[in-house]
Amino acid sequence: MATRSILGKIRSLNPLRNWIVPKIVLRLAGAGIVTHVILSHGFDVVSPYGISMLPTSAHDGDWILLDKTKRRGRNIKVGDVISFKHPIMPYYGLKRVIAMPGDFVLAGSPDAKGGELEGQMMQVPDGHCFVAGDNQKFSRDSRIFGPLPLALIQGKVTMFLWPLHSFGPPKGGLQDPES
Amino acid sequence: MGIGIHLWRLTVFGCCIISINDHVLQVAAITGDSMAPTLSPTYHETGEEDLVLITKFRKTPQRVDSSTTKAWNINHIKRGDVIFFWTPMNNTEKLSVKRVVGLPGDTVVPEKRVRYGAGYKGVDEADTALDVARDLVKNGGKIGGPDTVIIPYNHVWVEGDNSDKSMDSRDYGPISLALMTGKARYVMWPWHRAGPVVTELVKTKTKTKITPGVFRPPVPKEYME
Repeated sequence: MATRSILGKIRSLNPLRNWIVPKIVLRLAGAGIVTHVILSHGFDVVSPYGISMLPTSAHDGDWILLDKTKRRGRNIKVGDVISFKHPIMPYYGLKRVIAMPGDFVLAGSPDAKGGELEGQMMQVPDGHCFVAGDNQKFSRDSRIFGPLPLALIQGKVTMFLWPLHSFGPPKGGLQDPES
Repeated sequence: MGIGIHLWRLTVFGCCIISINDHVLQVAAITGDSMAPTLSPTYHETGEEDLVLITKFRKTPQRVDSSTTKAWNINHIKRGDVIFFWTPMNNTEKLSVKRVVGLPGDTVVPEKRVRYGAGYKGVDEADTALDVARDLVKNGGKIGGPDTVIIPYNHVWVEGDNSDKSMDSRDYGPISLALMTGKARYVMWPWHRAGPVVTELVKTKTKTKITPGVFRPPVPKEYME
């Protein structure tokens, strides 16, 4: 009995107890914050734009599922398509990882648009990876801006969701030599 | 009132804390003595860690045109700021805290030192910061001469105040501002040193020479549409 009256007194202090509309607003705001955290730390659905990943990803209109639990390079391996914070420009990039720390790469290729690494072999330094677009002729990637710090990786592309003919994991990743 | 509504409220509360931590303010403990005596001055002897309040930056990408200097956070950085950033080398899951001593366009003659800390995978330990900077040539970054690095667009040179014990840009070259997560603003603990973090260049034992640049490098030509 005593407990009920104390709870009753606390409840009566709640200014929103009789207001339906603010309750709905609060519920929506709560759902919004939870969704935001899920999208930024868990999984996100994004639509990339650009021709640097043709034919894997179309110029426009694709929808992909991004696994953000693989931020900062956890469990990323060569052949994964990743989303990363661009080291130079204030947007995000989508490219394929072609080398991890310690691997040797041809740092600049004749197709690379400019860049100072033309024709040089380099060893990918600790903590960095080398990314390249599938459409090498029209891709500005690590052949231009150098190795990408693993800490800038935002997530890994696990699935293409739309259009339906490209549904499934990104094509062109590492294949088991046995199969 | 079932258990469900309480779980929901707890989830919303937790997500609010996470969002505030990500986008507004964060409190962090400084481990390591690379910023002594400014931060955690007695870490080496007592392991005492300062608690520091960090302000976060807006990370939303903005529209870019050929005249932009916006980049990631560049307009909010000045020489002397103490920033938190993801470590580009040696352990990418760790946040580092160091002072910005060089801005884009500055000419740096880095101290020649054997790479601090042994055991880098597959990298020759005798590499100096200059060799690293050559390996990590970012577009627009130039080697000004046999001994100098010109800090490229959107990169800064960071060094710890405790020069001998700090792994910083003298080891891994200029860092991209995309790695930065926030600025250290206030020391909150211990009480007797509580107050704003000093954001001017302090005298350290570093032998790196930095000449401020006359102008900031523009957006690299490959990214001007």
